[in-house]
Amino acid sequence: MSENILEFKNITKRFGGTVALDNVSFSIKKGQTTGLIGENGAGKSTLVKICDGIHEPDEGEIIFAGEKRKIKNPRHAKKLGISVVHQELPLCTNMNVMSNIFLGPDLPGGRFFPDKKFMIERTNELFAKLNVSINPKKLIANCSIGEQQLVMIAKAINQNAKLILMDEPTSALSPAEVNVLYEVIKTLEKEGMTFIFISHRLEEVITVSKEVCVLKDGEFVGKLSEKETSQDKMIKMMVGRDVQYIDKLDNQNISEKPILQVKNLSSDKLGLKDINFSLKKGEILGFAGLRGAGRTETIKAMIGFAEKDSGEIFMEGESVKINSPRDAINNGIGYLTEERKGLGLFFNFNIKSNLGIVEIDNLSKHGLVNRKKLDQLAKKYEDQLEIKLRSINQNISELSGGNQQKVLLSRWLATRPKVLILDEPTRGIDVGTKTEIRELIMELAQEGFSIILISSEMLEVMNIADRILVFSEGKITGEYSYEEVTEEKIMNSAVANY
Amino acid sequence: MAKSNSEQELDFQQEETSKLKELATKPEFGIFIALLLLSGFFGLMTGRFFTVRNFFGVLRQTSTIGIMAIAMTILITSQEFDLSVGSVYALNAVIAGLLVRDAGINIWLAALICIGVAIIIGIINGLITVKFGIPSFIATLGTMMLFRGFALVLADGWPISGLPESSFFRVFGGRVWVIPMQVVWFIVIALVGYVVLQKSKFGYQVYATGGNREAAELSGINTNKVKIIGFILTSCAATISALTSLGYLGSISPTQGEGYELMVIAASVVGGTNLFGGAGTILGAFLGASIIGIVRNGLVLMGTGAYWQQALIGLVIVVAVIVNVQIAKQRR
Repeated sequence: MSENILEFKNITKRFGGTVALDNVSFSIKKGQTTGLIGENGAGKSTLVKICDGIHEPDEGEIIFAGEKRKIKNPRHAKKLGISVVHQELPLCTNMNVMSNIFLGPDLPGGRFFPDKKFMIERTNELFAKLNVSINPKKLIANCSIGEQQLVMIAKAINQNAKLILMDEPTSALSPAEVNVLYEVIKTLEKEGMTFIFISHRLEEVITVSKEVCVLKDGEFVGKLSEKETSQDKMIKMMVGRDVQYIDKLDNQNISEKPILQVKNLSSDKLGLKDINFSLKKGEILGFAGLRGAGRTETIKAMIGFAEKDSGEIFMEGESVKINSPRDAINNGIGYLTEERKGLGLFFNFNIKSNLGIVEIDNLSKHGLVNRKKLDQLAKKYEDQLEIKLRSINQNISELSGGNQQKVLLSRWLATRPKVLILDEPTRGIDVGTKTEIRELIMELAQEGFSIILISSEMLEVMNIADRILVFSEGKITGEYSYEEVTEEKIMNSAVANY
Repeated sequence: MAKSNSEQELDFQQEETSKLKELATKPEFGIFIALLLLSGFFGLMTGRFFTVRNFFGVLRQTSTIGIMAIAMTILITSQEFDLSVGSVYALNAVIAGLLVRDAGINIWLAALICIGVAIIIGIINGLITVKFGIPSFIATLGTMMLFRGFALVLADGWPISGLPESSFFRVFGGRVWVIPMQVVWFIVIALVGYVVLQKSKFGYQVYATGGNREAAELSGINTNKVKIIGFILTSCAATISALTSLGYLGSISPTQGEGYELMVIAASVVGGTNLFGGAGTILGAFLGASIIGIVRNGLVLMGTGAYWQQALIGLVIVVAVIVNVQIAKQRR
């Protein structure tokens, strides 16, 4: 039982300037389940991708089943016996269960025709091993996420997997399905299968794991044995780093009058359950929590970019109807998206057009764009935000990430929004510009802008926001003022389970 | 599983339900009902619709497009299109005609050479699409014009006729009892297409490629190869269709088959093939092509003007697809 199936030795992986994994070494024991935890960006996904052969480590080695291995691609990983069950399950939803299990260059059977009888029998056999029952002929499109996951596990076993990595396997499961998964894991452990269980839900990690490994900022922090694991201990290991200090600018002019109120916002599709909050005039309100916990989803439902089931929105005390981003803009809400490339920039446009696109109606006369006004606007923000560029006619793709972000920020500032929502405004940009943007956010609040700041970087929210709401599983689970907030408090609320 | 039951089932999409319910959930069910309704309508409107002669006449006219629609269904299911089928239909007929008339080659050998040309054309279409990553819609739009141009150049724009007598014309264009040979070819190819798409290992790979290409790749399926084979099937089907029409008419025009590509795709889509890949059946394609054939025939029998025919066929296609999509939504 104490034999190691997988060992990481001094694994380092860099992406450009950022170090995703820094000299990580630890081992996974055979025939049991090991939990892997860490904050957003701690390096868990990078480690998973290395195991799956999607990324190659820059330094260090992987020892699998006693042999040093270079994993070339996901197919190679499977051949070695490493199977990864991602959050997104690669299944053909237009086909049935057994076809998906045997999907590959060569199905069982003769030269031309598959042997369906064998496929049905073998599928039933596999499910019997898992102690579950799913009709082999059921269409994947009609399977629940839990059943789809079991299909992936059955597929892995059929391919002789020795190690199964499960990345956030429970995030889309009902409680009953989670229990089924626990049972399946236990059953397979008895037969010598090894699992790595990655989850933000610490209780679940404690339930299934014999050992828990903790990553933080790309480094291996330590391993907890079954007896040592407790939620508090795990949280302490995940956070608690040197505090990189950001000078909080005094924000004196917060008025008690709310500029924005959201009441009973719910969306089944986005997993939002009864969200209530208000934003005061001149305030910076931080949204903390893990990715997918409902921070961005709340905003998307609020601005009409995604459908909401219920909920009322009040601007300056008056109820407003917002059914599309256009409505949101007309009501004075500006949203800087977290997906700069996907949902923000137009790469076929130059800088000034990217900057002026939302204000384009006000820059035009009789349907024709007034270039002079557009140039003036672009120049104004170039100076104000110190955007580093050669010419406002340059293509946006030539700018660095930080300067692209400043252009996007200018786009929304130009609309003089009553509420400015900034979603991960410093993600993926260099440290210098990060600081600049953080200071800018605080200055904007002093100027009277009301701001919602969504960020996965806890320190950023803690040090900039006047008040912080923490989201977990589609609910607001904590509210803290600037004075009382700590990393532990945020983390505790962020993993709260209802 | 009873044999008769499995005959009509999509083996990798099926689920166990009661027989009657199962029939109603078949993807072809809606289109079949539409076919019956249209037949009933034309039967009431004109006395000549429900005759044996007309029945086979409709099927014969349908077969030209139908043969291509069978292969197109396989290709669309793998998430690609082939717009060049109409041009290939003309080009290979021209090549066959010239080989026989000018080079004096036996027509059977010429037909075989044409199949060879079709395979090469399929590979070209396929390679442009998968190797250069050009959407097949554009890639085959280009080759459609290219091959049409070749056909016109080779024939110098003139029809080709006066080919020597051969058994070829009986096999491809004759009759068995009252059944035209074109219909026999159509049915044979539909059966082969059914086995290939819905029964064979290759069929599984087609559905997987069109359903979730990434998952298919991760499972080790060579999706590029699957797609290239799909392109070969469409150009070969276009060629066989051309040979049957040569057999029937005895002459060739370099402008024949213009606009067929869209009729072929329409037939496939009316038959329930998903334009975005992953779903489609041969029976559906067969019925889809038949609907278009029946509407055209029925309108002719009713004495509708040619211009109106065009408009009404378009209308039927749009309505049929809307009905199909609605049924598919309800089934979910």
